[in-house]
Amino acid sequence: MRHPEYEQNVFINCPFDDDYAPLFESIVFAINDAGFRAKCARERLDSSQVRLQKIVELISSSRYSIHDLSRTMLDATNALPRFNMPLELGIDIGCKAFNPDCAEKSFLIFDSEQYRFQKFVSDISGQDIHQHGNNAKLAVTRVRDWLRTESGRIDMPGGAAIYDRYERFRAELPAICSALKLDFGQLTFADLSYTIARWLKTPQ
Amino acid sequence: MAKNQAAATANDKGITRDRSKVRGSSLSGKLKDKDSSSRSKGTRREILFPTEPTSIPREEIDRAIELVISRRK
Repeated sequence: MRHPEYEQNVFINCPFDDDYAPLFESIVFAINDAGFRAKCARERLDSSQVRLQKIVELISSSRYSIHDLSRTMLDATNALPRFNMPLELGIDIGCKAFNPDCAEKSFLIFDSEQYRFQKFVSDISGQDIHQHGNNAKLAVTRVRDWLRTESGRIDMPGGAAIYDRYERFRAELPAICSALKLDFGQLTFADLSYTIARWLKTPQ
Repeated sequence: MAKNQAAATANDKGITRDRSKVRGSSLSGKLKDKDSSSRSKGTRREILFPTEPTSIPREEIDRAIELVISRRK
């Protein structure tokens, strides 16, 4: 049985480091502005739940998923690859393959360079892999175009309009955080998602 | 007499002399057309709020956003 919000949910599987933060924010904003709801493993604060179980629940409750493999590289400290993102992509592919309720799932897979994924997960050859070049504007446009195509919704602004709004939101975000007496880094994922949605609801 | 003739001529041409009616009908017609056109192009989408609880009360975030927006030039 499908989750009641299945059709609106977009699961984001990406790194959570500071370098990735601008891309992450822009992707969350694009999802919201397109009329969908962003979901990610950071949203749940219940520490009693096993992390992988949280991820499985989020994957099965989301028709759409964004998997960013661009940070699958050797860790400077351990010289081992970061493999959480490919693992979660594999779980999502399995969910689509084995759960009839999730057969219509759609994935947007990002990597840093074309064909790089073939060197570490060649089994996903044949899937559409996209590049964002660490560029927020490109990421916003790719996310919007993919959601537009896959959902068939016509009520969606264009990528340029979404990015323009994102820049205006980003310019006001420090002041919003200041009014909340918070550093930007202290906003949780749910705080950020709510702030974006509320800001989008206000007259522009 | 002259006024009646002018009114009759205007009516013959299908022109109404009640300007408020002209403006009202024209404007409401335009708005209606624009509105239905906007719907047909699907430029309205619903913004969805997260279902997970925020760490800060939502009312505080609302107030912070309103404050910042009120300072816009």
